[in-house]
Amino acid sequence: MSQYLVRRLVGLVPVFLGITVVSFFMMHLAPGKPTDAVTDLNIKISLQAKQQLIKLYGLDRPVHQQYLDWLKRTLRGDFGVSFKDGRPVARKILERIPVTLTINALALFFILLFSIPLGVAGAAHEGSGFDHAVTLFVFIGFALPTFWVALLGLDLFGVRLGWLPVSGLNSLWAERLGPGPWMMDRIWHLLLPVGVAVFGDLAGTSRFTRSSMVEALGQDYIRTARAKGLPERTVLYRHALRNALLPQITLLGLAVPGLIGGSVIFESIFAIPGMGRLFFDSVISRDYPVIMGILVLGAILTLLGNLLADIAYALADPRIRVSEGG
Amino acid sequence: MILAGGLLLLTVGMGALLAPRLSPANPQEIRLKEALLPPSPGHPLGTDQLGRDVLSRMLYGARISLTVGFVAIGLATVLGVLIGAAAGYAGGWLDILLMRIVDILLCFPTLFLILAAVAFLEPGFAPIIGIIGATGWMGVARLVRAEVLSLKERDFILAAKVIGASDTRILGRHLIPNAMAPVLVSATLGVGAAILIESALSFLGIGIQPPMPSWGNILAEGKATLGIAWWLTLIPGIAIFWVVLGCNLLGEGLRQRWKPQ
Repeated sequence: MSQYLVRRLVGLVPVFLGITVVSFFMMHLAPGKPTDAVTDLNIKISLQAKQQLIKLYGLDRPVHQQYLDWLKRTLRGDFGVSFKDGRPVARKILERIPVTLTINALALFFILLFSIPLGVAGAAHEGSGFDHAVTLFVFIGFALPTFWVALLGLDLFGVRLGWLPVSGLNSLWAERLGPGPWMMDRIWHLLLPVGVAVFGDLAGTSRFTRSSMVEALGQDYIRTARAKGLPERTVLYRHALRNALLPQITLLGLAVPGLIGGSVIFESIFAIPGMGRLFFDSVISRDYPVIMGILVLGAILTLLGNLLADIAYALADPRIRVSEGG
Repeated sequence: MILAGGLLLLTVGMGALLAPRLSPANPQEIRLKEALLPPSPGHPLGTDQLGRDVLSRMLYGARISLTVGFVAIGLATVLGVLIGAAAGYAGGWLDILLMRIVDILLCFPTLFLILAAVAFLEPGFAPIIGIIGATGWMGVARLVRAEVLSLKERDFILAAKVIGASDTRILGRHLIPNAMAPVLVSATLGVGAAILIESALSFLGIGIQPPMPSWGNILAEGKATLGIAWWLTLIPGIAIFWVVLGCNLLGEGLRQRWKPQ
């Protein structure tokens, strides 16, 4: 196992370097120099910011040297300072990450909680009315624009019914509450955004569970299990599901970029001060150091997600660690 | 499925094509006196806060949304096929290099890449198409590479080599056409995804810019009057849902039909 881990980690180094190269050169290959963009496209940014930018990227020096310098600073966790308020980019991003991660982790948890039984039930009764209903739901869920669902949810639960708050993470008076009520207030605020996020991704995951279950149920060991008279429940949940969940682990790793990317839309609609909202605001105000920082961090989080998924897969399925070459 | 999906897309396609004939009014014409009228015979889908006819804006918006979806995915597909075929056919260091680039690009959340690109370019019609196309080819490249890898050892390819066909001929005449089925499926699904992305960007105000109508920015403009003018929010949302559902049904139907037996 440790050998497998080392091999995987070594394999990540070039990808990580690639991420930094892409992020860095995206900045340089963009039409014009970043400084042009500042002067030509955005009159809102001050002259001081322009000089800050030139200094930050050392634009008078050869490109590869600029890259190496930037990489060295980035590896030390120094992403420069924001044009907007002069605060270190790393700190600005770090204080936003917990919110985004919490919402995504909660969403992921509920997605799995609902999608696994749905997928299993669909596969167990393949071709039945229930299965068709699940498939229909999946197609509808896939095609609904999430931001529209969020908007309708806001209008229905937040405005018309007045059951849920429409924005933010806590009520204005939350600071005066004790820890218990504060937590309730936070949960109350998270219900709508997490609910919409779950709704958005439930379809795809249920579908995936269903198809891996259908495949698992077609295997010989399932026929054996049924032949020896095991109850259907045991066959489904102990034998088939265990194997059907293996590919799901990889899917979770692959879902990370989608979830992180999607946070831009949620956090903008629900006014949640997370990383996605910060990214969106930075794009609007062309706060390049923050954009670059989040781009690199987003990719690294994705890389970590994939790595964790690979490790989990290897732990769950011994065939992987023995046979895979690298 | 193919039929249902095709019909959904066809209705919107016809609407977009015949927009000048079907529109009851000029989609850009502002009549403040007729602002926020609910649906009526004169304005079948009502009017917006500037008194513009929503049906006309939806029809012209369909042109924009469909063009963005199809052209962007066309671009991504061509890029993906070329890169994937080159990697799979050439093999060796070129394959390793290209696939590593794909791995690296796939690490970036697509929406982040798109937004970062929007920060450099001015948002608008052509940039949005370019950006969605340039960030969407990686999956296709992987798909085509895998197909080419499995096809290139087959007898008919060996036969073509034996009779002295050039590499371009083998790729263009034999490998790529035979690898097209999964590519078309992924492109059909991709068009739906691209339309979703475009509408999300326009909704956030960084996609298609007003006064050019797009379903996303009609929705964005309707957001402020959600409580009093439901049609401004409901109609564009349903239209987006309609088209994306059409693409997904068609793509899924094609996938099942062409599934290797």
